[in-house]
Amino acid sequence: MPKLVGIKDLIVRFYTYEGVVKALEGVNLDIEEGETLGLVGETGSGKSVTAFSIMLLVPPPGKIESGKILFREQGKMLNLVEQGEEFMRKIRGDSISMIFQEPSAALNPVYTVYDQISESFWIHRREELIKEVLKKLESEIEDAKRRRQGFRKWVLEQEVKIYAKMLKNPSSLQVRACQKIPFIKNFRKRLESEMRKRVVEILRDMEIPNPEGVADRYPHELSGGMQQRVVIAMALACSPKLLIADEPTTSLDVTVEAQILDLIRKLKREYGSSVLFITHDLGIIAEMCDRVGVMYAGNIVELANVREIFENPLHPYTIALLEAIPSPRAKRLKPIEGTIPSLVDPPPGCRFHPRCSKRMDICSKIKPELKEVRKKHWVACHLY
Amino acid sequence: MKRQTRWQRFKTNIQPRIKELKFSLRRIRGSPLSIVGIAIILFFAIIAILAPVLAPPEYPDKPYRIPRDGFSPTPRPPSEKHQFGTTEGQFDIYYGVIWGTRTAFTVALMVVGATVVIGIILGSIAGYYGGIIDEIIMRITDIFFAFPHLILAMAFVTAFGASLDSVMKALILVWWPSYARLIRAEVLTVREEDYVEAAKSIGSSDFRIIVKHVLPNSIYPILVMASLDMGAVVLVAAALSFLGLGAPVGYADWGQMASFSRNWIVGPPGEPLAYWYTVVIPGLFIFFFVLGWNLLGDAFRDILDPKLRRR
Amino acid sequence: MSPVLGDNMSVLMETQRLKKYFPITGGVFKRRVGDVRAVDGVNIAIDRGECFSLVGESGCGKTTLGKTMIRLLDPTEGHIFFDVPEDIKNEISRLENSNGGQERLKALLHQYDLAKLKGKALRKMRRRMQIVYQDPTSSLNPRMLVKDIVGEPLIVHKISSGAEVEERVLQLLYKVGLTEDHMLRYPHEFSGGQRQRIAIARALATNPDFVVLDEPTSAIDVSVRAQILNLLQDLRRDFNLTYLFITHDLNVVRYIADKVAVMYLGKIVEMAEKKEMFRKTLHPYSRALLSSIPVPDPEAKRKRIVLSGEVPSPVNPPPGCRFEPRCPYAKERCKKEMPPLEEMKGGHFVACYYPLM
Repeated sequence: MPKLVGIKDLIVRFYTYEGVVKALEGVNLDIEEGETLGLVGETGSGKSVTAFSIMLLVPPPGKIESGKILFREQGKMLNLVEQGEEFMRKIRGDSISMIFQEPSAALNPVYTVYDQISESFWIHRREELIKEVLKKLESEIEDAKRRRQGFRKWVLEQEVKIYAKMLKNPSSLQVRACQKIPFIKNFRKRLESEMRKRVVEILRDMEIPNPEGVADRYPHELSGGMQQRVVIAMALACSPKLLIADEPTTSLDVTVEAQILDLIRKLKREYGSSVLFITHDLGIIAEMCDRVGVMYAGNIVELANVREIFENPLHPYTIALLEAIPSPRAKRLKPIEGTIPSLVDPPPGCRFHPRCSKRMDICSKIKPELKEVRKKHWVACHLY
Repeated sequence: MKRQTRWQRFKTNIQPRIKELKFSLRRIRGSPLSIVGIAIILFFAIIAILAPVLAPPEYPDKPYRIPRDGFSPTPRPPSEKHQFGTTEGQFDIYYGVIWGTRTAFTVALMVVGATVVIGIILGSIAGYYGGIIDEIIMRITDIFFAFPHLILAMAFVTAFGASLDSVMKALILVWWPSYARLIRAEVLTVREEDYVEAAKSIGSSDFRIIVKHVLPNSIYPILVMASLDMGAVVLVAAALSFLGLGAPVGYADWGQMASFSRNWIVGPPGEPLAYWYTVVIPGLFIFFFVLGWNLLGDAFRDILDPKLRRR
Repeated sequence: MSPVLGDNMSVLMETQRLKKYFPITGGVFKRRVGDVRAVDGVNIAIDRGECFSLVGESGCGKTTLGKTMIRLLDPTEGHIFFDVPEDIKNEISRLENSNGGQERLKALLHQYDLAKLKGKALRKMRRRMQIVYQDPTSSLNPRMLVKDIVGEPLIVHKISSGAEVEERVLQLLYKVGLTEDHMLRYPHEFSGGQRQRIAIARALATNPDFVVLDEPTSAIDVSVRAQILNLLQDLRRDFNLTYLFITHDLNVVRYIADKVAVMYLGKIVEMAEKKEMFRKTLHPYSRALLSSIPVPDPEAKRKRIVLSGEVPSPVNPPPGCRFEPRCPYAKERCKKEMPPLEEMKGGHFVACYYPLM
């Protein structure tokens, strides 16, 4: 499958009072079209930072120091790091979308569901919508001509003029003025009915019961699961190529989580997007993902097919992680000694070596590179 | 663990608080305006402390009586004898503003100190217990809030009889509701925190919970508001003195000095700024005092805001 | 009728028909228009030394039940018997079912019913029961040093004073795997796992018998979770503690619990020994819950039962079985009457008219 995203040697640092936090130290990752890639790691592993970096939304005091983020847009692989803010704004919400852990935090409490989803449409699909409206207007004008309704025809032609202006330059003075004047501003009704149609359609796609009613609700009137569906609706409104899901079910109940995961799987098939699924829950990874990347302290330590990872984990951290999860057979959990290292002053060489049961001399000196050790199975460890 | 002397234990226990203090100081260093504010306040504090040295009193047992050099109503410009000139009635302006600094600090500290204490007590009780106690206290504060600060203060002072003490009492009565409200709002939030409930589960008494858990976490906005109010109180006190409701005639107080200049703000035609020193000099002292505290209040807010702290 | 599991002499904590309602006020005069029935008649018996796990989703009332049991919330109705001898309990239920002896009944309840205790007596009881919260960040006072946080219970109950407090605090910290350096620091200087250890140390300060653990590992990283779970196991063994382990993570339950109870909308729907619960789940909700947990095995062919709808709010619940609206097996009878919690066999209790055999 062709590559959709290619991250090469990404280095991201945060300049804080306590020191320079070396969040990502040379991350290499590829996402193919149509696949679900899981990113597993704990706090400080850098998985969220990676996600934010793809959208170039790393919050200050963070900075992308170096590296490439290649994204296939309009047939070419573009390095997003080099693109300007204008370009990125077009990409975000349109080609790449993100859903977050806390749906109540991602939704603006003072706007209805309709307002928030339609915003996405308005920003990215404006031309399409206006053209739809214009087409309808044309046919109505024809109809008016036939019925010899002169006045109606004249009104419709005025509307056509305003919409044409909106198409060319939506923030022109004329357009903005027309939106304020009492009777004239009714022309917006057509546009809004178009948008409403789309919004209700996408809410229905999310398996939200009573989509028309929900569209007019405020976020606080919905339950957690519904809110998350709305957030997903916002993200998928413009059929993005890449959907980044950052722990989308962590704050939801187990039964609701099951529903949401099913939904994401179904939508991925329908919309044909790739999904970057970030989580710390290995159970979800097993269920949802095609390939898995394991991250630790700012590096990818293992990358393979989901089956490979569970059946043949190679990196000591992955192995330890699998042994630390409670499962029916475990008599006693084997915790991983030590704690996650400080990213301001990380251990030299391999960042996992202080906690690794299999460490060797070389591990504290040289940082291991990601190597293909088995077929399509990369590991960054000196054991191999 | 070796047996440590009480002094050694004290030193080790203080360590973490010192660390936090150092962190705060670092943050102050980063904000130039706060340093300016601190400098201004220190400047005034030094003047207040050294008042007897800078302007030796003429009446040693009544240092606040401004020495008069005659009884002529016309102010005289700055000269050798009177560095800042004299105001109406020949009161020495220099003496007045130097000792007025002491008055300003006294009034500000007493008023703000008392209102903070009253506000904390009433506000934390109202916020922590809620229910009918809360309702009663809040309705009382509502009554006080219905009147503008200055008007209410004027009413009280007139009732008590004009003097500096009355001014302070009146201001305390007028000012405490704001603090009560503020603390109550913070307490309402803090009391829902898990660690407060945890303290309850341990069996701590209400009093202990309020004093050790709730208050230390609600105190930030109070510090900010208190430092801003130091300046505001002086302004209102000055206004009251200007209207003649404050200190008696001849008392060293900035408001007094300003009130003396009432008739001399504009000089004779042709020389409108002839008596500028009567207005400008006390005015500048008031201005910088208030400015210093405002800057300090801003600095506190920036330093103490827990969300901004760990950036 | 209260189901009592396990050996009769060793029940440490028992609740009978425990209810906790939160009033909803409405209207201009703030009249009581209804109740949120967070806990609606719960009978539980926890044996000494066991780890009793309470499972359910958000809104089912498990946290409320845990807090009410140790009187952090005041119960609306019902009895809480903490370390009360069996014969007293029997006498009380005898008196309740008869007409006479009301004076004696009142006296007994006044002395033994935790739900009725007040003031000093209640505070003394608090030494014996403690709670560890889910979020270690918000459960520690950010302005207090670790030494003061862990030492507070000792001071409040006058167990030690002065320099002795520091020594005891140090010992407690060692027990949970921390060191002397950690004493004079603020909570924000620690990681999540360490903060939870501090919270556990605080809970152990008064040598309690009973500890309520409210999702103690949910907010902690996976690799550290194992450390904390092992620590809790060790502490339980070493100090003969009894746990009420509240969680929604069934994998953890499978590892650490002795008995499991599933809650839904304020009522217990199923209760059994752990092995039994996982081997033969009888209630439709429990079955759906157990099947929803993502299993870390990509080969596992899960027949996941995906329930329709969401957990409804516990305000004005229907008269019949609470789960009926979402139950794929519901029948007429389920709508009309609430099924009682009944013993099936060998200590396995279900509240369902048509349990899945």
